[in-house]
Amino acid sequence: MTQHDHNHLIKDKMPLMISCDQTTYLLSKNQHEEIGFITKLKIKMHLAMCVYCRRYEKQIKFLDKIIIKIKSAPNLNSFQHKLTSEQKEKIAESIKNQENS
Amino acid sequence: MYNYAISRTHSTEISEDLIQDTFLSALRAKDSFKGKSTEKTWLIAILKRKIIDYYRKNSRNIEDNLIDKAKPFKDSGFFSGHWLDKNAPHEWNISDDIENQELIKIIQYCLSLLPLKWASCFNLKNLEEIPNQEICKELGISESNLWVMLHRARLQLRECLEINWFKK
Ligand SMILES: [Zn+2]
Repeated sequence: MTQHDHNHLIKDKMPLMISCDQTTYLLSKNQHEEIGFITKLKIKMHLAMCVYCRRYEKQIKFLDKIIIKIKSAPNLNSFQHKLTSEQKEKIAESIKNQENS
Repeated sequence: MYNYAISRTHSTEISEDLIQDTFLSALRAKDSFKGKSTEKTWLIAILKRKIIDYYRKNSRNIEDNLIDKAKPFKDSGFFSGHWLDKNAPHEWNISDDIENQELIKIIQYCLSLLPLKWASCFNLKNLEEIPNQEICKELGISESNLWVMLHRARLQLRECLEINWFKK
């Protein structure tokens, strides 16, 4: 039996304990809004004994940082796209057509 | 504007259509442009509206049955709700990756793989910063539904990033 399994064996006998599914869900929710003291405590208790969810928490924070970067800088070099002149013409053409109709 | 659309929809084709649409709307509404903002800000505001419309139109009628299929947790038995062995997070070697352009590309790729309904929720919430109530209204979902989809989207993004970046 792994340490993880063992931790969860203990877990299911205790009402204060929540599953990994619930923990990760609450971590997501906590990113956006206040989730309450007791719920936070439950998360803390789960994290204290679950290495996978501890990793998840760390990794999701990293992910959020990158998402914020994408949000604030849509002109990042890696996706510097330009419309080709053909694409531009196509768009201009269809706008003209719509205007006339 | 084109880059803005791509950073939000992760598709060049959709972006082209959205830009076209935006210019058309702008032309029709050109009298309402009072010069209070710059032209670019005004066009981006219209584009933003078009992006929301796009998500609404395209994710309204999609079934949510993908939700349980993609769950990385055991769904029955004594360990129900615990990480499946094959999906459990591995240790990541996070360094100064955040400045890495390749990593941003991978995330964009992972975002493009999300089921459209989850992507709609995720992008409207995290990129457009639309309030929950409005997202729910636009997509025709309940708030608890929204939370679940935001959650599933992040689970999938995390796993996609692990597979494509950290396991290399
Ligand atoms: Zn856990």
